[in-house]
Amino acid sequence: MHVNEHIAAIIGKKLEGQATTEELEQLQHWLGSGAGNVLEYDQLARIWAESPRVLNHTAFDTGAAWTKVDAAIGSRPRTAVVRSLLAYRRIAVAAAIILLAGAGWLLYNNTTRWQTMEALAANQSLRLPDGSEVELRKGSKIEYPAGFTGAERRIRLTGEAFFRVQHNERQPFRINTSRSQVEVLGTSFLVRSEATLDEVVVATGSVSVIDKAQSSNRVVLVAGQKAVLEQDRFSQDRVTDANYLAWKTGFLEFKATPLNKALDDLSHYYNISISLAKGHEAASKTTLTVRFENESFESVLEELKQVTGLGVKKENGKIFLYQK
Amino acid sequence: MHEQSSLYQLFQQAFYQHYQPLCQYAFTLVKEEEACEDIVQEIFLRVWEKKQDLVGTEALRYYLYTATRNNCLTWLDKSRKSPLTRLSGHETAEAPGPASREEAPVADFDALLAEALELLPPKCREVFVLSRVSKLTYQQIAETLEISIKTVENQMGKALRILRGFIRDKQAQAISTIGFIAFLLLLT
Repeated sequence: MHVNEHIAAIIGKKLEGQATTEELEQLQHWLGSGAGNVLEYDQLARIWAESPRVLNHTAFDTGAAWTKVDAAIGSRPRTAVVRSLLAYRRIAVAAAIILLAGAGWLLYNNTTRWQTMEALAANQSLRLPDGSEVELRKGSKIEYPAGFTGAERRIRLTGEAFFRVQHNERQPFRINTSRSQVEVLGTSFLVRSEATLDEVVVATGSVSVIDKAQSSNRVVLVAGQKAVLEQDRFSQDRVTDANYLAWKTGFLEFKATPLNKALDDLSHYYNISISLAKGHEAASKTTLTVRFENESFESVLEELKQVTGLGVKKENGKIFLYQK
Repeated sequence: MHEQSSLYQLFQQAFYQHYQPLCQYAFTLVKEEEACEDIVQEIFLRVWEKKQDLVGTEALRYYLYTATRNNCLTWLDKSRKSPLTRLSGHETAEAPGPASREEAPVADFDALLAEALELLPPKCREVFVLSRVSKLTYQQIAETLEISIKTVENQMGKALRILRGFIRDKQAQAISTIGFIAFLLLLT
């Protein structure tokens, strides 16, 4: 029942996603040869999953450290200085309001030390105080406290980000957008918050999404599902491909994908509206089987024209495809 | 916004991405928070001043971890030579363990795991931390510690076995303690 060295090493590799086919077979064989082995495997997997959280010592304040390093590296570009001056001005205004409102509020702000990370020029990864990983899409912003003390781990998101939340049953992870609250235990998923809708796509684990306007309005999603909250209504769907992460991976894959869906994915990735022209919706019956990897919009448009035989016209910065 | 140098942006991104895991790793060696932060901040400054060519490349990660490791070991050497500095800092520099093991017969899984992690042999612990906290790949760990990937795989397996063994033994003890207490209660 005690695991030997060889199997233990294979289990480590499997949990890491690095085991070879042969090793997986050996593992399967070992698991099948005794009920006690399955239990041992579960225990090791649990240890592997919980260790990051247990090992993560008190939070190191990345924001404060950055301020120090930033000051030390000397000649900063002008725009960075302007940004920090603006920050001081915001704080000065806030301070005036706070003083009028009462000293208690001012104290609260000073001790929670909320930090903001905004991905300005490119996608940005960061590590939260509990070891959770976030990848922010360019243009998005996340606010989080220096340390997750208390009954929950709460952050605020504006825009789009992919999360890998560290497992912790006793401290639920909650993401607030202007519209909804996404609640998780430990899992990986995407949250996208736009002007008119919120979308959540779950890669692994499970997540609950709550409409902040009406907390009884909520859904629970498991791996492979997604939900969109628009005008106070949830619509749920299965996720059939990984294109929702194209902004992170750089590639889009279509396998007999209906043209409308493909155009939606392309619009979302390139931030350019591409759709079928009015009256040409019959073309939506076409399916697309093609793969794009880190390609320019122009070359993708060319390929679309060739593969579908449709024509392209531009109007008001939007692209329309039509049957010639 | 267009005037902001992209080197600066990449540098800031790298800082936000790596600062915390590097500090967590340093803490497993140095065990004093301020010292860890100083060491890691120094390394980033050095990158900006002397190693800008690494910024934005994958090689940066290897540099950061190797430099952190070396600087931590140097720091440990220095602090060992002057025992006074060690005492004046933290009086209780021992491993964080469960506060009252004697009281709770059925010990908390988290507390047991924390205790077990502190008891891993040093090399084994380093590999385990680099994998589970810093999230380095086995390849990256092998390069940083200058060992083979096979050794990394074995050390990970060894860590899991040791951790599991410790927890199982403690839980067995707890159960037998309860059993014994129950037995005593039956007798009275």
